[in-house]
Amino acid sequence: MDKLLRVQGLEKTFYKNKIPFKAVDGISFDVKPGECLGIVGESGCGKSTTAKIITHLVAPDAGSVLLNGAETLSWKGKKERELYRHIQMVFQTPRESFDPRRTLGDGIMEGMRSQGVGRAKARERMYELLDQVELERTFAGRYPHEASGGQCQRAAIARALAPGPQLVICDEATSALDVTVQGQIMRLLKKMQSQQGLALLLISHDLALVQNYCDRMLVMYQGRVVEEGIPDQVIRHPQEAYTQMLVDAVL
Amino acid sequence: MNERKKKKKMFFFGALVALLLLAAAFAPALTPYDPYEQDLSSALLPPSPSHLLGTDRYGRDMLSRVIMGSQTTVYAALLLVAAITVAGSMVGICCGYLGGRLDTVLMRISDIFLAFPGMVFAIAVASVMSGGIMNAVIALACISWPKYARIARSQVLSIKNMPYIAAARLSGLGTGRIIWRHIVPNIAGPVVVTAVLDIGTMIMEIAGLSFLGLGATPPTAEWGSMMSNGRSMLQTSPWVVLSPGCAIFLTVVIFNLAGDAVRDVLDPKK
Amino acid sequence: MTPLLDVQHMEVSYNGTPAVHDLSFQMEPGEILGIVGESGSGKSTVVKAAMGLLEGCGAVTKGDIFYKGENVSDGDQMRKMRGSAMGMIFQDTEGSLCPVRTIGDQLYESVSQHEKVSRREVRERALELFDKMSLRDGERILDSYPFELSGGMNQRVGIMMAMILRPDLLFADEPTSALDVTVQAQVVREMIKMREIYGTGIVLVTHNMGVVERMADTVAVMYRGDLVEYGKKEDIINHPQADYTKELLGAVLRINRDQCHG
Repeated sequence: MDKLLRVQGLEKTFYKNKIPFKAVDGISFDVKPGECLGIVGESGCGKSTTAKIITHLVAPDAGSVLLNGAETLSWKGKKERELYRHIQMVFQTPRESFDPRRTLGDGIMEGMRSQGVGRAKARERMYELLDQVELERTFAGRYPHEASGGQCQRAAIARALAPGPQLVICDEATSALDVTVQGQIMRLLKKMQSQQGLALLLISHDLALVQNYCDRMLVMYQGRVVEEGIPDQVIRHPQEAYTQMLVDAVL
Repeated sequence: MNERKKKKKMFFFGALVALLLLAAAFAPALTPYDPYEQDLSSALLPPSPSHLLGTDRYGRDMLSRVIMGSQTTVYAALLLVAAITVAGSMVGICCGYLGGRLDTVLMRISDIFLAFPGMVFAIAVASVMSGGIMNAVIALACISWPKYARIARSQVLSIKNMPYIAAARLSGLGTGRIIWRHIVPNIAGPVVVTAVLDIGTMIMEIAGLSFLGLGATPPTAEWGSMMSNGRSMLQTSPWVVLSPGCAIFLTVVIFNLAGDAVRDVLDPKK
Repeated sequence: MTPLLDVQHMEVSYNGTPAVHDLSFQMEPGEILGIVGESGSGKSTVVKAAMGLLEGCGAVTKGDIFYKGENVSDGDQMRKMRGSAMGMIFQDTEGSLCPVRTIGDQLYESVSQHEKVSRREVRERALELFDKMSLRDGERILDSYPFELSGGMNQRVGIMMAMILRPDLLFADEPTSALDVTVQAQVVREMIKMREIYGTGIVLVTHNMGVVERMADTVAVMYRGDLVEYGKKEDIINHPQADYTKELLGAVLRINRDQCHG
């Protein structure tokens, strides 16, 4: 079985003032172990909603999400925690993804502590993780507002790596960062991918980012996948009119 | 610089509040006379060196009664505010975080309480349950919690979708732990500020109910009931009304200024 | 010819700490200057200083700003010119508009601050501008509230509102950063068109190199409050001199497509 994650026929409709808006309209795709899959699309295309459905932050109306062949959408409570040991997420806004009243170290250790890992052991592992994401150990004692966006994002990656996941979903994880920092974070993620056999699901609006770092890509438009393939081929020879328009719009 | 000034201000008013609470706690030791001992021979004496605030119609020393009354009034108000803050916030947090039908039902109930003219409701409750300071506190608690539920709920709604809450879920935390570790500390600021500012209001409301004869029962020294008992003598012996009146005024001012100072420190976003 | 905007050795400080040091540049009428840099580089501060919009503790502490040869460094003269001689486009136009009044209403209000005009006249001029921007349903836009319009549409409204007084100088602070790429391309085209029609000089502050490459004539690269490189766009992009410029350009990801793009 070489499918880590299989998403099938997901649908989600949101209601705003009773007006329905179909955010995700029957999308299906697979993520293979260790690959970097990019999902691109403009705002409102449903790419973030898809990520939230996979991580149980949003409940879908229809469809299924299979992790190593097992249906996960019905998982609750303990089983849900099991899901988070395999799938983790890095968010768009680095500072806001840490509790402003807790240190970065606390945030990284929180998952381990809630699984019953002892304080000393969790601390040791947290320091290891900081080393892995190339962040000085002193950052463990800092609050989110005392670190830069890039530093917070490294800490967020450390937190995501803590349970030893097979898949990390990055929802626009670098869009809020300066370009030079963006490159550093992407290189770090790629290093983790190759060192730990981690699969990455990169959600982005940035075609250049996807072309430079992803093994495979999907183009989403109005809740559907309109094109799928190797980034170089999709961007050089778009088959769909929408993809062509997207590529042309990049300055 | 500015931060230091704000903290200084908070400590100053904090100290005043502490002084007031201490005075109330050790009231029996501070009174120059027994606040309950009647001496009809020295009734309605104006302020003098021996009775700094004069005496009431039963010859009880006003200063002693005012000091003694602080215990009843201030501690009843603190108890009241603590109860409605905790209860109201808990309701608000549950509504805001869990949402759904629970939210709808609890919020409609709070709407009903808010729609009632507060004092009238309190009078009704207090008169059904008969007098007594405890019943006045319960009556006021019944009508005052929805305010806290609303504040807590709106605060929760504003942080519920922050990535750090989602991140906590992804770290495997259950709902209870997320609420306790991440929601409560982050909404505490505005709730505490409201609570401190409310202490003054609650002192007045308790005094108000007592003034109407629905709070403290005689002979308990309580500022509101003391004013009520003396009101017929306002023209002949004004000190009987003015001394508890001034005590209420000063206490409310101190708590309100302390509340402002706390807000300046806790709500840096202005 | 006197330059449109001439900034000489300007230093801007917040609470006495300099945020921008010794900055000088000149703009000719109709020129588009791109100021690039990462967060904290002071690029937005430059615009605020030049427009006299520094809040509270910020001030121009050294140097001079000349607008068409007139010294406007002290902010007061600047305030008079804001709107009529100088326009501004924000990153988040929706946030800079009043949410409970229609676009047309707010437009009339801002124009009537500077000239005696009737509502009708303002409306006609707005529609004419929309027409030049090839926006067909101008009537509907003017009668809409900001929240009823998409991010891209609000941004184009922002351009129209800035241009209706025909300013000679336009400041655009990250005008396309919040937009999707397809909308971004449109907004960039419209700003270029405005320059062509009205000869407006534009100061474009952005972190997006693509936008700068497409629009700017000259480029100023800022890093931690210093101007590290300033010159013609072609020179800077093709032959960067400063190390920081090289790093910045190196970090920018580009997509590879077969056909060469203008």
